[in-house]
Amino acid sequence: MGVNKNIDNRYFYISLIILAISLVFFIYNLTNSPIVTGKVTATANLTIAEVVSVNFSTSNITWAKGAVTVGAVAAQLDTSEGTVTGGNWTANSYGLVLENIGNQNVTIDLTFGKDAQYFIDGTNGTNIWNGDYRFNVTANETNSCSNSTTVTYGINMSSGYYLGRFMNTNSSTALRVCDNLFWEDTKDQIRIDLYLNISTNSSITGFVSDTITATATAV
Amino acid sequence: MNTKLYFFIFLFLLFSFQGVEGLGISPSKQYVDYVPNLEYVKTFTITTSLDDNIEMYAKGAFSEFVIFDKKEFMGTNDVKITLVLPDNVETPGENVLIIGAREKSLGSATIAAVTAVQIPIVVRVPYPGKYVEIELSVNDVNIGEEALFNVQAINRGKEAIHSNVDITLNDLDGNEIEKLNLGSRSMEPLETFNFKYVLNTSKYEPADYNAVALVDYGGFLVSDEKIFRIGNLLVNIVNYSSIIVKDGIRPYFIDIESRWNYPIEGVFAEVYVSNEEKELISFLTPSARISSWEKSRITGYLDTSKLEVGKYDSKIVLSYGNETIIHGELEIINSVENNYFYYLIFGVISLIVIFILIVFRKGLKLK
Repeated sequence: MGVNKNIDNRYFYISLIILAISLVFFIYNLTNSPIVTGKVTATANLTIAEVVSVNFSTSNITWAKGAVTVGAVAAQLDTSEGTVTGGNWTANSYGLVLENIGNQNVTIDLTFGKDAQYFIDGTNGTNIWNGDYRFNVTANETNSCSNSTTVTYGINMSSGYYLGRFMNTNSSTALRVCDNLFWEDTKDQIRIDLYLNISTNSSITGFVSDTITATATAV
Repeated sequence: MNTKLYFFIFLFLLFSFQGVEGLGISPSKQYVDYVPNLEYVKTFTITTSLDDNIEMYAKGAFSEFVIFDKKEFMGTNDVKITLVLPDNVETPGENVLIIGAREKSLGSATIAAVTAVQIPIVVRVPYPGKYVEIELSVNDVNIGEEALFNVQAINRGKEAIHSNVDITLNDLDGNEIEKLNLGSRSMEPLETFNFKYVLNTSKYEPADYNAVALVDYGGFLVSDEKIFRIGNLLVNIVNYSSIIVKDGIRPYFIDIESRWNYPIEGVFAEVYVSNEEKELISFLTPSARISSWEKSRITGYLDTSKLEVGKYDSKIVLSYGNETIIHGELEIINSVENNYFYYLIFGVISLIVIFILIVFRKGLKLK
């Protein structure tokens, strides 16, 4: 009984601390918000600002440490399938999920920090020995992304890109992957999946990383 | 309630207040009319989480003339930009300047994703000589109401103009119904003027019309057109179930289309099924509300067990404060007959495929 009481007290004190922190945040937000004290009669005016805003709800992909299996030519790491074959990296099935959290439709362009050569010493060829670094964008909610001309969902963006199509990464040019990512909550997410083919010929070892930038522009 | 429960409630409240931050910029797209040496100042709010390192940038037209009051910062901030336009621009029309904010990469994972947000500032540069842009707008109405035509004209040329505005009303076959004159006026460069016309629709037939606005400015012509509708209290039946499989209680669909410019409450139908001798069965659909000009579907339920396989007459009476009545046919079919139809199609397709394969194989053998 005495032990339980001590635990209960501990929860109580932790609760008090959290309450205090909550109040600090609350007062901070309150004092940094416009104070509304004006008294009006009959008319209410309200302006809702146009906001362009996006968020990666999943923003990292990590396969941990691994190597190509002895005897294998190459290993394939694919987040769209959630698989690793020919290697002992940890499979990742999450992909990167980008959400339009503003109140405007936006275009989405993707820029990669590295191409296959600088990331995994690959050349994106058809031969499995070459090494690949590719990406694939899909609508994470039905009809999230349309093209700009005929408002057809998922196909023939102004850049020529089609949703669901694996493309080689390119570090020199931004690629328009979505002409219209909608702001409505039921259709405001796209998912970016990655595919790596790491050849035993690769001369790169140690921790490697890349940064993908998704740029949202007001339509 | 014990202290554990309080603890979790506080935790819930604390995290409930943590909204999704992401990276945002506000306000959105801006338009600026070019004036030589114009100083354009605008403050943008960049919203992000407290520990995000943000970098501002400009690209596109006039980006070299943009000055930021701050280029790098952490957390949510207001950023003031000052754009001083040059005294001469060679490219008339819309010149787009992009203002952007991007997260600076942290790079702690194998693949890290960061965001950037951008808004365009469209600088409209006058065209040499005379150049006018127009936009026609008009509201749908019910018969007897007034339709307001508005032609917004903007002089985007470097010279003053004198413009005369007409609107031609055509039916959808292109036949001219009437021509309206909205007046004429002189306009200085960059001046905007709204030419208006209020049309009483009492003498028009309820229908869809094509309005074509034509602006004549010193021999140059520019036009814009819009479809507008004059409605009456009418709901059309555009389709209905004509073949139903005999299988207990089955849905009966009626597709309707409102020709009224206001919502209509309490729309329902009564369906009568009869043969040459007498009425056999009737049923009501639930009542529905349809919006102005809406295409919708109402559904009733027919008890097919009371009907034999065969053809019947049907009569649909649609009520909505007015009535639309149509007479049609209803065929009750046996579900097995229905399957035979699909078996037949499948069989024919299979035969064609087999035939093609045989011909293809023979062709290979001959080679």
